[in-house]
Amino acid sequence: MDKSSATWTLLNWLEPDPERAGKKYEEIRQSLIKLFVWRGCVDAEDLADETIDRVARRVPELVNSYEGNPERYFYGVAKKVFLEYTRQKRLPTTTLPLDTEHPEIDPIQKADEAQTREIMYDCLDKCLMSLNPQARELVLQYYGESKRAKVDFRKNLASHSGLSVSTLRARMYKIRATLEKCIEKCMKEQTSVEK
Amino acid sequence: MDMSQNLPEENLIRGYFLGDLAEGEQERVEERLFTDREFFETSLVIEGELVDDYALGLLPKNEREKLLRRFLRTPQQYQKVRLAKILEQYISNTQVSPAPGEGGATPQASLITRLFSRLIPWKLSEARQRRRSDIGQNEPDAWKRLLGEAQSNRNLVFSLIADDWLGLQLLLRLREDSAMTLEGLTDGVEGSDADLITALTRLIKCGLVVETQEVFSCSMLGAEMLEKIDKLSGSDLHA
Repeated sequence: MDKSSATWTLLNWLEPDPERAGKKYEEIRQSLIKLFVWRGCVDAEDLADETIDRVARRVPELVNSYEGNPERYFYGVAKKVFLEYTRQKRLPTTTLPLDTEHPEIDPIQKADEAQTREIMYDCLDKCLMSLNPQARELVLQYYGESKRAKVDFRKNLASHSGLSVSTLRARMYKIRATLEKCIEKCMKEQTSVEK
Repeated sequence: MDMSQNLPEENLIRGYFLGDLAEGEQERVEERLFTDREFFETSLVIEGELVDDYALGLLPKNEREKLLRRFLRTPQQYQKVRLAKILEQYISNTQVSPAPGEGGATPQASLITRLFSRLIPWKLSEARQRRRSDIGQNEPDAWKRLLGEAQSNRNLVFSLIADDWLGLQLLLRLREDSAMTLEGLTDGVEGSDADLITALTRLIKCGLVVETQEVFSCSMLGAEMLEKIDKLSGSDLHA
């Protein structure tokens, strides 16, 4: 079976309705990527795709033999893929220098860091401006408020903004995700220009 | 995404990220990431908040260490923390503190606060652009110049917002009519003569208005500033 017909069979196994099957496929892929990231894998997307490929190869048998929720099956395969990954490639055991004032960073690295931060500031300018005014306002308040009122700052901000805490949290998640994507793209562009 | 408070569930997810769960519990959480979309989305929200709390120094020491050991090991996660830190620094460096008793720039906050929070970052961004070109020049001189620029930026914003936006009102009138005498300019604008003249003097000092033989007009900088305000406030001030 070639790859496209295997994918088609896989989608059909997930849901008979093509549109819903496509949505489910995407959701499973997102869950896989996050699972691998949260387990500390650097190559999360590749591992997610490897998992999907393995499931797709087995679907012709699964259609008749497997009973239950297909998503659970993906999780089972993902665990195997993860085990193999840990055997071949050691997971990062050392932590990254997350504190900005890291004593062991040498001066050259510090200069690079300063330059990267400068690029990031420029990207932030652009990306914040690309948000709609309400979203931009919320980001400015969220990160500004966190400094002023450390305890329960989300609750404080929600009451000031006239939002429920749950709406604020969900909205902040979406805005943060948009900003992350925008900044990642901008950083890549800026870095290639500087090179 | 229904984020109504479900504390036991949220604690479970936090426990997952902090590595507090027993193996069986951890697997049950992971399985639900696949079978329960709402649970998955709640996990994303909590992940983001934990990263923010870590970056902003809001986590207790033991949770901070757990998160670092268990969760913040990959470049992707590192990038998230970094972004939160830089965002917070960027905002605290650029945002104007709210007036006493004011909770912050809420959606209902005055236009002044809102414009301040947008114009200042814009001006600072320009200053950063110039700072980059200063690399290699005499550092103390460059800083002196930057501080001077920051002061002139503050004066510029003040010239617009002082006396209930009198400066902005005058500047808008000058954009409508390219050249006006003092009488024509102040006609119909609320404020005492002294206030009007003071506002006009501030605009001239900041270079937003030019005066030639007692005729006033909007400068290039003034037009550029109005354009920025139109853009940043999301409204057309012509209207």
